[in-house]
Order: sequence, then C-alpha cells, then structure tokens
Amino acid sequence: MKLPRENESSSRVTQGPGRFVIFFFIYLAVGSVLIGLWPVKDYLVQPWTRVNVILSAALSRMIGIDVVSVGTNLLVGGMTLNVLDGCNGVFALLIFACAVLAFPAKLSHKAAGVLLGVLMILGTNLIRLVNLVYIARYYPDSLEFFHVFIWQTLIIVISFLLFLGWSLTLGGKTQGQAA
Amino acid sequence: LAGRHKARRPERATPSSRGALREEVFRVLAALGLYLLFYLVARALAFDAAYSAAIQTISRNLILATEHFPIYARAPRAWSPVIAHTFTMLFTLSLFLTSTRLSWKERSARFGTILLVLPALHVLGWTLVMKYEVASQLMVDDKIAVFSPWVFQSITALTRLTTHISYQAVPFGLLMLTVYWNREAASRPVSSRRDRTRNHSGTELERGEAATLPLYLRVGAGVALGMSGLLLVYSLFVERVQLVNPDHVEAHVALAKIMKASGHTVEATRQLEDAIAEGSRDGDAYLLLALQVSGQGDPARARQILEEGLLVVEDPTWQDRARSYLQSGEVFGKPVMPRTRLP
Repeated sequence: MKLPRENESSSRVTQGPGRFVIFFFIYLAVGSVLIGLWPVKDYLVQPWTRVNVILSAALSRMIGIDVVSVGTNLLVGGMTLNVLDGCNGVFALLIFACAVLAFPAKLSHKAAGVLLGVLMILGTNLIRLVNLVYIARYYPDSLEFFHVFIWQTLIIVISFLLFLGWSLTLGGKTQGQAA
Repeated sequence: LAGRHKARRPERATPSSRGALREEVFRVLAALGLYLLFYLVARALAFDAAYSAAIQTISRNLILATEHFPIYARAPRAWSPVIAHTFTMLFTLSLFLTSTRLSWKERSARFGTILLVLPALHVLGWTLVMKYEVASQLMVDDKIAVFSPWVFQSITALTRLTTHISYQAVPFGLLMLTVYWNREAASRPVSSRRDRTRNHSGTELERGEAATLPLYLRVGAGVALGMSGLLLVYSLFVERVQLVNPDHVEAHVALAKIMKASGHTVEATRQLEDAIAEGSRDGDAYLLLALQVSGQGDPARARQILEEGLLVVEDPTWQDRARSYLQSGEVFGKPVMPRTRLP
C-alpha cells in the first residue's frame, strides 16, 4: 500500500495497493502455517514467549508486584496468567512483518523495519504483560476488559502506527526505486 | 515525458508526508478513543454478550446441520472463543466516524460492507475452532481421528488464521484501509471531491477510482467467502466423499463404542445400523449390534445379524468366532438364542 499524497495522480495512487494487499495476505497465510510448525514453535515462538515472561516478571518485581515466572506462566496473587500464542505479541509481530515485507521498499529498509518492529513490539508487549499482572493483582475483575478490549486493540494500533511511520519515512524514501 | 519523469522520481519524506502522518495518527487515536467509549456503552447494554450468543447460536446450528456424526454435540456449550467479541465491530464503527475525508455515502458503502463481512468471519472462525477442539478432544480421549492428517492440518492452519491472527489482522487491515481511503480522498482534486458527493456521472478519474477501489472489498470479501467456501466444501463434499470410502464406515463403529460406553445405547445402536447399512465389513459392527439387540430381548434378530455378518465379513478369524457364538448361542457371554432353557 502506498499512501497517496495531496493532489497526487490517481493512476499512481491506485497502482500499488492491490499488489500490496495481495502480498500481505499471501505472507500472512504462509506465516500462519509456518508458526504452527514444530521447529518454529520450539525454537522461535517458545523462547520468545519465555523471554516475554521472564522480563515481564522481572519488571513487575521492580515495581513491587510479587510475581513468579514458571515456564510460560506468571503466578501472581493466587492467579496464574498463562502467556499463550495470542498474548506473546507473535501475531502482532507477524502482521507487522508481513505488512513491511509486502510494502515496496529496499530490502535493507525492510530488514530495518522488521528489526524495529521486533524491538518495539517486544517492548509494548512487556508493558502489556506488566500492566496485566498489575490488574490481575489489584483489580482481577477488570482483567478481561484490559486483556481483550484494551490491550488487544492497543497493541495492534501501536503496531499499525509503527508501520505507518516506517512506510512514510524509511519505506517512503525508497518506494520509487523498489516498486 | 516530463510528467512521467516526475512521477518516477524517488519520493522523500516531505513536510506534506509528515502532515499526512500527523493527521492519520490523530485519526487512529481518535478512533481508539471512540472505540473505548462505544465499548462502555455496548457493555452497559449487554451488546457484547448478545453478539457472542448470536454468533455461537448460528455457528452451532450450522455445525449441527452439516455434521455427519453427532460428535459436535459433545462440545462444551458455555465455551466461547475470544473471536466472537464485538471489538472489531466497534472498532469499525469508530473508524467509520473518524474517516472525515470520505463522504458519508462512501463511508456507509465501505464500512457497511465490512460490518457485514465481520460476522461471517466470526461465524467461520467459531465453527472452525469448534471442529478443531472437538477433533482434538476425540483424538486425545477416545483415540478417534475424525479427520485425515492433512484435513486436520488444514483446519488447524485455517483456525489459526481465522481466530488468533484475524483477531489482530482484521483491525490492522481496517486501519490500513481507513488510512489509505482517507489519503486517497485527500489526494483528489477539490472539484472532484465536491462532484463525488453530488453526482456520479463519472469523469475518467472517478471511473478509474470506481474500478480500483472495490478491490479491497473484493479481496476482503473474497478471503471471507473463500474460507466459508472451504468450510462448506468440507462439510458438504469431503464428508460425503469419505462416506463412500470403505474405511469411513468404521468410524460409525468407533462412535458406537463411545456411545455405548457413555450409556447412549440408542445412539450406539443407530450408529451400528448405519455402519451395516452403509456396507461395513467390520465384524465388530455385527457383533456389537447383535449384543445390543440381544440385550434388548430379541435373540432371533441378534442371530440374524450375525448370519448377515458371515456373508459380508471376510476376516476368517471373525467368521470362526461368529460361528462359535451362533453354535453356542452366546455373544460375549449373553444368550443369543438359547437352545435349552434352564428350569
């Protein structure tokens, strides 16, 4: 998808999006199959989830919440928060990476975009997990609201804003050459 | 030529792109704020629970109407996958309201279509999740594979795509569409923008846009319809194809064993009768049905079933067993047709 500018020629505007959308969906379909394969699960997704759990537990302890990490679980105040595939930021990262890879840009800029996404989405997900640990500890009745309605939306909005910023700056600089 | 050269020049991050970025960031954040407001209203009106219940009811009825075996009735009724929540619907509504660069007519057509596609996607996702869960449960608890490995893998991937990923990919796609549509509207000449709201007689520019804009809707609807189609093909075609597979009728027998073990003797009998009617050559089907019928007090019918089995079942070991049962008058220790009655 190439974002149109004010007063830009309509034919140029409408050339890129179809290609972007098609590649985005193809990458997404392939990615969804790949992350279900055991080598990807065992050597990529699981370690990523454990890193999320260990770091979020450490951060939570730093702000005074008594939490223990066991595997992919966070034990807090008699509750167990199991960090599953949907909660570890992997899907958000996959979607972001698919969008970056489908976007017409130089390969090095795409790689930079994906790397940026990994760091930003990991950081955002850590904030999400620490926040959910806090909610589970002090406001357990509001956990579903924060888990489903706030953070699911927020992490996608943040991923999208990251993509938007990347596409209009780093990605946008090389569109003409790569497209 | 000059125009072409200009059009091909690499673009740079310009003040106008920074302005566009600011506008779109503001739009997205405004949509997020509106979404939270809508959520509170929807929660107060119990709209979320009603929507989830409606999706579940439609999905469950769809599954029950198309299933060949009564196995999905085993699925827990209270269980609800997270996909059935209304958040994508509310988010779409928020984006509809914040797409200020589009006319109301354009917004209604584009976001209205999305609002129609989303429930279909939720129904599809819920149905696939249910099929996946029940198939997994049967595999673990009862050692029964209701899907061939490749069908199971396909359903697993589709389930992941339509639930976890679509749960996040749909809002991401919605945001992309919203930003693109709004930037595209901003790029139109002012006169064209004005004309679009008044008449649609069609300049070349408008015709070009009209020909290309529905692409997104076509892609979105195509993906949803494609996945629905896959499900429909599976439900209506693949299961029927499996039905004529000689191996498939054995599933009736396996299900009958589960039904019998769980005390559903009527259903177990029906499954065994189905297996035999569909040409099962599994000796267990005949033995179990004979046992059932015998237990219901009809030894003559039980003997007849075993004799029918002798004509069909090719396994010589089973044939020997069946003959010995017929001669001794017992099936698994119960009398089929006692030759002598004890006083």
